[in-house]
Amino acid sequence: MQFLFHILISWMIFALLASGFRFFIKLKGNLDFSYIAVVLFSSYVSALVNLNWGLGFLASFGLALLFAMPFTLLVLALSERLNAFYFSIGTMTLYMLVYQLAYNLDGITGGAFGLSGIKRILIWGWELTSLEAYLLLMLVVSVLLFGLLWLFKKSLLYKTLLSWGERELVLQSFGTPVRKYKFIIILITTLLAALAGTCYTFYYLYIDPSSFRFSMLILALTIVFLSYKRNELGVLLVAILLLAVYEYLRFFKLVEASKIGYFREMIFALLIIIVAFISFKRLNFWREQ
Amino acid sequence: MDIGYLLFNTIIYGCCALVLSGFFSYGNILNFSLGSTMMMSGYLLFFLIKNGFTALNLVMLVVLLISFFGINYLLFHCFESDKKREHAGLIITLGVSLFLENLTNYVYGSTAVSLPTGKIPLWMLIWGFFVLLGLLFFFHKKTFQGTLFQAISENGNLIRALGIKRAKVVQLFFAFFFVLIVLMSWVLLYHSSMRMQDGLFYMIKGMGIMILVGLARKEYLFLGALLYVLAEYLLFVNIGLPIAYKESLILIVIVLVLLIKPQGLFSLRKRSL
Repeated sequence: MQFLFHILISWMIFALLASGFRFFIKLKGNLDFSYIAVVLFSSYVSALVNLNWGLGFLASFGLALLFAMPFTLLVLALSERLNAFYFSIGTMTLYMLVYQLAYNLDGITGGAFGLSGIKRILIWGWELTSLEAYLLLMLVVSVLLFGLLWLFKKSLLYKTLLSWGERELVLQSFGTPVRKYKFIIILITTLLAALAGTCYTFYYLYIDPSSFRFSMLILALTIVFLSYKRNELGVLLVAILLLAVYEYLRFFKLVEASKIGYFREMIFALLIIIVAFISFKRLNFWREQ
Repeated sequence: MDIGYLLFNTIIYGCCALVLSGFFSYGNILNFSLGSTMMMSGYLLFFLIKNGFTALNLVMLVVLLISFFGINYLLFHCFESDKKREHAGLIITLGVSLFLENLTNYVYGSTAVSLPTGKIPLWMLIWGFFVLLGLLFFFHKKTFQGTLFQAISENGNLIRALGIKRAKVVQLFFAFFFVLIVLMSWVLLYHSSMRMQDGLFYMIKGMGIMILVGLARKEYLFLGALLYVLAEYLLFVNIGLPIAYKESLILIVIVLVLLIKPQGLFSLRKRSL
C-alpha cells in the first residue's frame, strides 16, 4: 500500500514537472532546459529554509519562487538575445551550471551528500507524518494547478500568447508588447518549476544533485513529447505510464541489483531517442496545432 | 608553467571544439554525444588491449559505430529541415550520450582506466597533432572536397538545389571526425586516466570554445582553446581558485558570451542568432 502511495505521489510530481516544461514549449516553440535548473534551485531553497528556519510547504514555495526570479530575468535576457536553437543551448548551459554549482557549493548544498533531515511541515508547525496526508496534499495541489491551467487556456491572454508562434517581428510591428508577453510565459513557467521543486523536496525529504541529473530531464522530455498533442489529462496518463515503467524497472530481476540503475537509464535513453525521432518528424513545435 | 601540459590540453579541447564545430557547420547538429563516444572508445581500446577481441568487445564496437554513424545518418535522412535537425539532433544526441555512458558503466564498470605512460613521448604526440591539423587545413582549403564542405557549411540549401547529396558528402567528414575522436581517446588513455563522466566535461569545453570563438571561425578554434587553457591555468594554478569550480568556469563563459556577444569573439560581422 505504501508503494502504491509512492507511485501516486511521484506520478503527480512528475506530471507537474512535465506540465511546466510543456507549457513553455507550446507557447514559445523553444526548448527551455533552464526549467530543470529552476526545479533544482527551488528544491534546494525549499530544503534550506525548512532545515534552517523550520518553514513549511507554503512558505518554502513562496521563498523558492522569490529566489527563482533572477532566473526569470536571465531567461528573458537570453530569449531577447538568442533565437530558437541557440536559446536552447543557452538554457541547457544554465541548467548544467546550476547542477555543477549544486555539487561545488558544498558548504550550502552539502555537495554530493546533499541535504537530509527535511521535515514535512505543511504550515505553522503542522507536520504531515503519513504518506496518506502528503498524497492528499498532492491531490489538492494537482487539482488546483491543472484546473487553473485549464481555465487559463480559455482566457484571452492565452489565446494572445498562442497567436505569437514565430511571428515575433510581425507582432512587434503591430505594437504588441512582445517583451511583456515573453515575461508572462517565463514567469508562469518559473512558478510551475518552483512548485514542482518544492513538492519534490517535501516528498523525498532528501535532495542531492544526482536527483536532477539528465535522467530527470529525459523523463520530463519524454512525457512532454508523448503528450504534446493532448490536453492535461493526456499529460497525467502518459506520466503514470512512464512512471510505472520507471518503477517496474527498479525491480527487474534479469539484471544484477548493483547495475539496475544503469540499465534503467539505458532504457529511458533509448526511449527518448525513439520518441524524439518520431515526435520531431510528426510534430511542428513552432506552431500550436 | 608546464608548456607541455598547456599544449596537451589546448590540443584536446581544440579537437573537441573542432569536431563539434564541424558537426554544426556541416550538419546543423550539436553532437552532445561527443564526450561519451570519446570515453567509450577509450574504454573499448583499454579492454581490447587487455582482453583482446572477445565477443563482448566486438558487440561494444558495433554499438559504438552504430551510435555514431547510424544516428548521424538517420538525422540527415529523417530531417530535411535544418531547423528540425538542430533541435532533434540536440535531444537525440543527448539520449545517445546517456545511453553510451550507462552502457559502458554497465559492461565495463565505472572505475577509471588508463594505460602505462611513457610509451609515446608527449612532444611526439603534440607534433603529430600539429601535422594532422596541417593536413586537415590543407584539405579544407586547397582540395575540391574541402571547398565542397565549406560550401555546404555556408549554404546547404543551395548545394541541395544543385543536386549534390549533402548527406553522403558529410558522412565522409564525419568518418574523419570519428577517427579524430578515437585518436583523442587513445591519447587520453596513455597520458591521463579516463572516467565515463569526464566525457560530458570535454564536450562542454569543446562547446564553450566553439561559442567563444564563433561558429563560423574554425581556424581560431585552437587559439580560443589556448586562451581558455591559459585562463584556467591563471585562475586555478596561479590565483588558486578551488579546483572544483574548473567545470563551472566554461559554463559561465558560455552564458556570458551568449549574453554579451553571441556571435563569438572572433566573428567578422554581427550575426543574429
